[in-house]
Amino acid sequence: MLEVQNISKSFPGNDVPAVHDVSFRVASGELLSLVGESGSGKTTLLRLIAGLEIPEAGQIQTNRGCLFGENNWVVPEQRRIGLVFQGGALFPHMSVAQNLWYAMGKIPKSELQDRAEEYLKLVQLNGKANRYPHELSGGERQRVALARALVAKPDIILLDEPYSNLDVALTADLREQVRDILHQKKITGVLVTHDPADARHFADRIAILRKGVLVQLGLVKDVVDHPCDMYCSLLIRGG
Amino acid sequence: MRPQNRKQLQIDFWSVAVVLCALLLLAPLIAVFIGVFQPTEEWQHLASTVLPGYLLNTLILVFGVGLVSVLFAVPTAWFVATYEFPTRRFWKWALVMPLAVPTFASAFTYFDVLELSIPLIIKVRDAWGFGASQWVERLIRYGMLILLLSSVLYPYIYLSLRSTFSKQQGVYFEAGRMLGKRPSSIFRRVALPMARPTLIAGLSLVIMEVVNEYGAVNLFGVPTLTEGIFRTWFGLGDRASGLRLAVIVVIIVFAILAFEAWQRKRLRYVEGAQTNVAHRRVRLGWRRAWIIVFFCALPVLIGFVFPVLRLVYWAIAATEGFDFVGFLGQAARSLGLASATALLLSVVAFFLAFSVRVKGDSKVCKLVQASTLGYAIPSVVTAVGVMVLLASIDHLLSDVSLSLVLSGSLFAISFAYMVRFMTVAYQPLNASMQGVCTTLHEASRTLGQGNWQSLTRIHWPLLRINILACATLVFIDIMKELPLTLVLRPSDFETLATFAFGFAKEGYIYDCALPSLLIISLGVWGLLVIERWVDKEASQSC
Repeated sequence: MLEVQNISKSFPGNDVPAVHDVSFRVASGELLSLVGESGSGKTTLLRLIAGLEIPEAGQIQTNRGCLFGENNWVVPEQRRIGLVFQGGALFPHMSVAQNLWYAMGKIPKSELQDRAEEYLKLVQLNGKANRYPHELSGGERQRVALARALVAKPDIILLDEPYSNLDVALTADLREQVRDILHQKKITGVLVTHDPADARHFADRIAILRKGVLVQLGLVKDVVDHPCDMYCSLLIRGG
Repeated sequence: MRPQNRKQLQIDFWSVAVVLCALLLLAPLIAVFIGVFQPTEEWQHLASTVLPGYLLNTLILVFGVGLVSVLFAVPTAWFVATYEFPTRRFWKWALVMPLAVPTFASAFTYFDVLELSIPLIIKVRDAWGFGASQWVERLIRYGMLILLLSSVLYPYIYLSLRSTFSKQQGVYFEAGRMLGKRPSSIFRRVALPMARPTLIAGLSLVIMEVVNEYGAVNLFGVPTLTEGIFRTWFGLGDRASGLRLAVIVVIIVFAILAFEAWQRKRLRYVEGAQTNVAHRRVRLGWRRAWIIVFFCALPVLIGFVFPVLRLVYWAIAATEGFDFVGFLGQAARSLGLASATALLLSVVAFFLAFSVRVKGDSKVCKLVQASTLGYAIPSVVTAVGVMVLLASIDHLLSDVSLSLVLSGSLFAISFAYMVRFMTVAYQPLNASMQGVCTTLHEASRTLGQGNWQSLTRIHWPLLRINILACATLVFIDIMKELPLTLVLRPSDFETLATFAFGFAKEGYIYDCALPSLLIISLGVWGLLVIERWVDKEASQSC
C-alpha cells in the first residue's frame, strides 16, 4: 500500500510549485499510472515518493509506516521502494549479474547466483548474466533494470517513463511483461508516463496531473470514458 | 526502517567531514587576513617607496603577458581547429608542450641572451646619454621577460580555445559558410565573439600565473608584488607588512576572478547556444599551409624547443664534476613527496566532489568552492598563510612542551601543496562526477545501498582512472612549484625546482640543467597522460 497525503514541493526560482497538495492511495498489488504533459510534476512526485527529494508538506505512508511526516523522513535506501529509471541507469562497469548482486546486499555467493538467475529468467534474459550493459539492446537494458529493482524485494515499484527510448512494438511487448511480473509478485506499482497507451494498458487506475495538481483519479475505463475536462480528454485519448 | 528527525538531517557524517575539510583548506587564507591587523611601523614607508613600483611592475607584466599570450594562442587555436594542413596533428599537441616548461627554467635559458643587447645599449648611451640607455635596457629586459612568460603560459588559453573552436561551433561555422562568408570573416564575427568566455577564462589563468610568478621575475630583476612579499617578509623580517602585501595580491586575484565570473554570466547566451556538431576542417594550399605552420612553430620554438635544447646542451657540458649521487637522492625525495601528496590530495578531492554531489546543499557547495580557491591565490601567500597558521598551532603546543612540531616539517609543505593545488584535482573530478550520471547514485540508493557503498562500489571504480590522472596533474604542478617550496621546505630538504633555482641563483647555470630537464620530462609525460584522459572522457558516456 502507498498513501500520499497533501504532498507539496517547490523548487527555488519557480513561482509555480512542482507538486501542489497531491493526495492519493494505491492499494497493495494495485498498479497506478501517473499521466501528465512535460513539466506537470509527475517525475517530481515519483522522486518524492522514492525519497530522492524532500517534500515541503504532507505525508507519505506505506505498510511499513510513515516515510515522511511532520517530523520524520526515511532515507531512500531504507524505504524498500524500487525505482526503474528512464534509460535503466545500469552501472556500466558491472555485468548484468553484478548489477543484480549489488541490489541484494550481503548474502552467500551461491544464493546471489541463484537469485540473479531466477530474476533474469523472470524477465526472459537467461544466459545474459555475464553481458555488460553496453552489450545489450535498449529493451534488454530496461528488463535488467526491472530485474535489478525486483531482486531487492521492494514493497513498491516506481517506473519513470521506462519505455520512452524504445520502439512501439517493443514497448507493447515489454509493457505486458512488466504488468504480468508485477501482478505475479503482487507488488504495488506506479508508472509515470506521458504516453496515453502506456497509461491505459499498464494500470488498474489512472491519475492525471496538471501543473503539479492532481486533476482526475479513477479506474482506467472511467477516466477514458469520462475525462473531467478537455485537458484530460486530450491527454488520455491521445488527442 | 529508521525514521530521522527532519531538523537533524542536515548534520550528518558527510556534512561534518566536508565542512571540516573545507575549513582546514581555508584556514591559511583566514590566517593571512587576520594577520593584516597586526601593528607595523614599516608599512607607511613601504607604501610610499616600493609599493607603487611593485604594483606597476605587476601591472606591466599582467598586460604584456596577457596580450602576447592572446596573440600566440588565438590564431594557433583557430588554425589547428579550422584548417587541414600538413603536420596539423603534430602542431595540435606540440603547441601544448611549452606548458611542461617551468617559467624559472625558461628564464635560466634566456637570461644570458640579454647580454646580446649590451652593444646596442652602449650605442644608445653614447648617442643619447645614460638615462636613455637605462630605458632601452629596461625595455629589452621587460620585453624579454614578457616574451618568455607568454611563450610558456599561452597554452592555458590555447587549450580551451582549441576545444571551443573545434567542438562547439560546427553548426555556426557551416551556417556562416552557407551565407557566403569566408573563414576569416566567420572567425572575426562569429567564432571569436562566441569564444569570449573561454578566452577570458584562459586569460584569467595566465594572469593569475603571472601574479604568482617568482623565479623568472627574481632572475630578471623585475620586482613584482609576489617578489615584494619575499623581500618584506624574509629580507626585512616585517611579517605584518608582508601580510598586507599578500592581501593586496589576493584582492587583485579576486577582482580578476570576479571579472571573469561577471563576463561568464553576461555571455551565458553563448553557452546556451553551443552545440556538439563538429565542423569539417578547411583544406589549404601549400603556400597558406606554410604561413600557418610558421605561426604554429613560433611559440613552440620560443617556449619549448629553445629552452630544452639549451638545457640539454648545458646538461651534457655539466656532467663532469656534477654530484649525481646527491642529485639522485634529492630527486628521489622530491618525487616521493610529490607523488604521496598528489595521491592523498586526489583522494580528498574525490571525497569532496562526491560529498558535494551527495549533499546537494548550496551552502556546503559554496564552502567547498571557496576552499578550492587556493590555486587562484599566489603560492607565496598560501605559504605565508600556512606558516602563520602552523606557527600559531606550534605556539599552543609549546605550552605542553611540543614546540615546532609542524612548522618547517614535511607536513607543512605537504599541507600547503594541498591548499594550493586542491582545485587542480577537484574541478575535473567534480566534472567527472557529473559525467557519472546522478541517476546511478540515485539508483544505488533506491536499491537499498547507502552513500558509502555508492562511493566505494560505483564512483570509485568508475572514476579511478580520472583520480589517477588528476594525481598526475597535481604531481607535475608540485614538481614545478617554486615559491611555496622555497618558503616552507625544511632546511635540509630540496625539491628539483629549488635545487635548479639554487644553482641558477649562485651562477652555476650549467648545473641547473639536469633538474630542470627532469621536471620538463615529467611535464611532457603528464601532458600525454592528460591527452589520453581527454580522449577517454570524450568517448565516455553514461
